[in-house]
Amino acid sequence: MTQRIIEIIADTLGIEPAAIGPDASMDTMTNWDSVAHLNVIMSVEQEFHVRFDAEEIADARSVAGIEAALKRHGK
Amino acid sequence: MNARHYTLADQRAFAALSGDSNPVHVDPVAARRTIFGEPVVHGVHLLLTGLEYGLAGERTGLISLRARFQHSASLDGEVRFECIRDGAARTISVRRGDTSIGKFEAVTGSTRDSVNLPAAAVWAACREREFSGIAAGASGQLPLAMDRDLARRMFPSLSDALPAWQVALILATTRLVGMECPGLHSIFSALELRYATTPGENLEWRVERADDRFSAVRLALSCGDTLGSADTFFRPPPRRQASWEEARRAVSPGEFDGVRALVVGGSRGLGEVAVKLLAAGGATVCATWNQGEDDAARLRDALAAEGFAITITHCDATSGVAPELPWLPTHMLYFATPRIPGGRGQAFSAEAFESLSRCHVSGFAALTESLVARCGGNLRVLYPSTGILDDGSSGFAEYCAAKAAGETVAGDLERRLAGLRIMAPRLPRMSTDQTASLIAVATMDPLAVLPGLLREFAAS
Repeated sequence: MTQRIIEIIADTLGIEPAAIGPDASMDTMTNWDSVAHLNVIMSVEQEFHVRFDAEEIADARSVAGIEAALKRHGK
Repeated sequence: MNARHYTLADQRAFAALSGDSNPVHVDPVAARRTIFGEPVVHGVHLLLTGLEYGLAGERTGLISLRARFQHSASLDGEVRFECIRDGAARTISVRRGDTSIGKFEAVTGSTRDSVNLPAAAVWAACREREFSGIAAGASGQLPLAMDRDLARRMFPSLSDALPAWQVALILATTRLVGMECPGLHSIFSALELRYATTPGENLEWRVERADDRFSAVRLALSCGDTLGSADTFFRPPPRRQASWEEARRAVSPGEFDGVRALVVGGSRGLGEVAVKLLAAGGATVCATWNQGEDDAARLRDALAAEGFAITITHCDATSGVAPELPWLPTHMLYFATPRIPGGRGQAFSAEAFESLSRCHVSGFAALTESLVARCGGNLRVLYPSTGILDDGSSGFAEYCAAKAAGETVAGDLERRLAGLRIMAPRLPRMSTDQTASLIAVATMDPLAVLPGLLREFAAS
């Protein structure tokens, strides 16, 4: 799951997946701004067939945060 | 590899061609109040520039087009275009520095039918819509139109490469998003078009999906038999600060009697709230503006309508020159700030630090010294510093460094200049244009912070 999340983030930000580590977050990545974040989350929802609430969207600001949110949805 | 620098003149020419004169692209004063903080290049301007390079020397048509606008591009840097040709496919990557700002994929083929294409003389005005208003299902149509001479001057290769109606359709999509729906507070995120051979005369659009969790709107597009979609976001409008009535309820009449306050940067944001609170409490107030004369005039006129007179005047805080006032101030509040960059994950920018320091350090010092000289001492100064210095939030290194230097300078000024007292509280993150974001960010209401702060300051 981690790798797929990284691939989605890489595709959205236009960078290579290898440039994104499992500890990557909005605080550590130049391109991961608020617009990119919404695109990332929408792609994650589409890929994993889940629907986050607004609080989850705001909190899932890292690879680990997105993974944790998906696990809360049983993924 | 091709490279372009975009200027404001380029932006305005593209606005004339496309009909998308959304202020975020062409009006630096209005754009500074958006989440971008400055004018940004139209995404479709980048797209057509990419196609200009990617289709140079060809005479063809588009079968399909897919564009993603990944990141905003301001006007102060070089934009690079890399085009890869693979049979009928063209992939164009757009970068600014290390940041990918766009990716465009086009498939070419022979669709060269023509259509009568009028050159629009007057474009419709920019609409300001509410998300709730269009989520219920808005729709409409825009006529395709294009000034072919202007198009040829701006995109000569593209004008030869593609049928005019195909270019006009792409132009109509930015007019739709930037001016019509979502309109004034829009972000164009992605465009997809599947061209048919038969051209249409209008771009028909309807809201296909709206998701309030993301403030996202997908528009379904059609033009004749050509179909497509546009993905957009609503961006937050300029932050409306506390109303006069709210400010009046937050202070007691007369509690600031005798205070003559110069509020530097008082036309919007925290400075605007301070002006209202001080005026409501009986202070004599002068609010300065640097770029936002209209904002300052609106504030002055709104207070005048309530029977409270303030003066407004221009002041470029980085100049260090205090404005001429009809009275000598007892208090100066320094709310001036340029755009605060939030460069997450980026290396420290000496350029950004110097820009911030011109306001928060050297400008502040020089302006304070000139005011003290004019007042003969006896000046109280509020220098709002930042709580980020304490909480260690990442991404604001240049701002924090400038504010820390400003605190040091404030201490030095106080020691050197007799009669000067400076308060430099580290304030929490409050709701202003500078803290606006598409995703929820914890901020405090300025009215929960500033009344108490101003009381303490006035009594200092």
